[in-house]
Amino acid sequence: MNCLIVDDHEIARSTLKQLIKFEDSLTLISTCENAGDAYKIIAGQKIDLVFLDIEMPEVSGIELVKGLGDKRPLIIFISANREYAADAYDLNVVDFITKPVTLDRFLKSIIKAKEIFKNQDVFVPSKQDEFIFIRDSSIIRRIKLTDIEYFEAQGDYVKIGTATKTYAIYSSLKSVEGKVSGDFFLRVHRSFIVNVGKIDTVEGSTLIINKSFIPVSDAYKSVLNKRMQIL
Amino acid sequence: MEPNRKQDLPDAEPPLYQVIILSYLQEISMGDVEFEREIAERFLHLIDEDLSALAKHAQQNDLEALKRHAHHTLSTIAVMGLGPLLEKHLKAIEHQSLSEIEINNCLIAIAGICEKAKADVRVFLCS
Repeated sequence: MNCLIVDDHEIARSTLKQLIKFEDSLTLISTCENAGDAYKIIAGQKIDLVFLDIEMPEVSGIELVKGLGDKRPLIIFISANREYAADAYDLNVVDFITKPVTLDRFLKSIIKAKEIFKNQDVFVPSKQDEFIFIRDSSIIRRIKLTDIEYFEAQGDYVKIGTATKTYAIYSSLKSVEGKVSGDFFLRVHRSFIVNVGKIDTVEGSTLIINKSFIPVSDAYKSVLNKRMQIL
Repeated sequence: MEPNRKQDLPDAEPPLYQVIILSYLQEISMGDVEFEREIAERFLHLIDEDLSALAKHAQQNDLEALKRHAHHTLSTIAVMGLGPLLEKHLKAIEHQSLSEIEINNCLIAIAGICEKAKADVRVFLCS
């Protein structure tokens, strides 16, 4: 994995650089001391993993991640203050490590990052595609959009339900929503996107697809009703 | 109160260093002595900058800058194992609303420990 260190402290950058030497799977591409430089590096180079300090002058690490949007590398936050942990995890990051970063803690974090990296969805279909590619363990698998019944947000992952199998990809529902065709899919809940053509029944705030019960939020009900074109 | 770092055995060797603990540095160096020396030299340089900045911000009563720099200093001192001695003072400055006297007391305590740490690091660099 190509990685980047972003920390405004010289010694923190050096210690991380030293730790990265222990891990053959990591290639250090660059180090920088502020979010602005990090943004430029991430935009211009293939960076898979960022070791990111939180408290930095001008723009914090948390603000940087929010600014990067969905198409961002994996992030490991590093901070001297534990109180940022909750905010950090809300951003769907790989890990949050407190300074000073020990070898043991660093390696645990890298194992996690490698696992997520391996399972990341890797292909962004165009709106015309009728399939998506996902990384399924060590292979890249094609799934027809018409086979997908629903997408469900589950922590750092999105579960993809089909009639025969479910898959899990490291992604956010928001990211998936932006990639799948609007002809088939509709958000019905903050944790669910469904294939409208697969809906069997709708009763109150629940819809059923192939024996799976899926909640429908009040906020999405009217859009769903319009989309179903009920006679 | 500073933790007692002396060994209990009466005939034990006197500790080499007064305040620094090198276990973290040695753990991440994995025997890379050049790296250890490089970090030690940077520590000597950076801790002086940190102490000057903290004193300047306190003198100018610039509390925001003082808090920011107290946070920054945490990364300088951690590598020399000074967290147990200095974190309470630096975090008090960073997170609490201290009076001027309390801030000065913290800064005096920090400066005292850092002077011992610098002496220790010089011993380390001569070893």
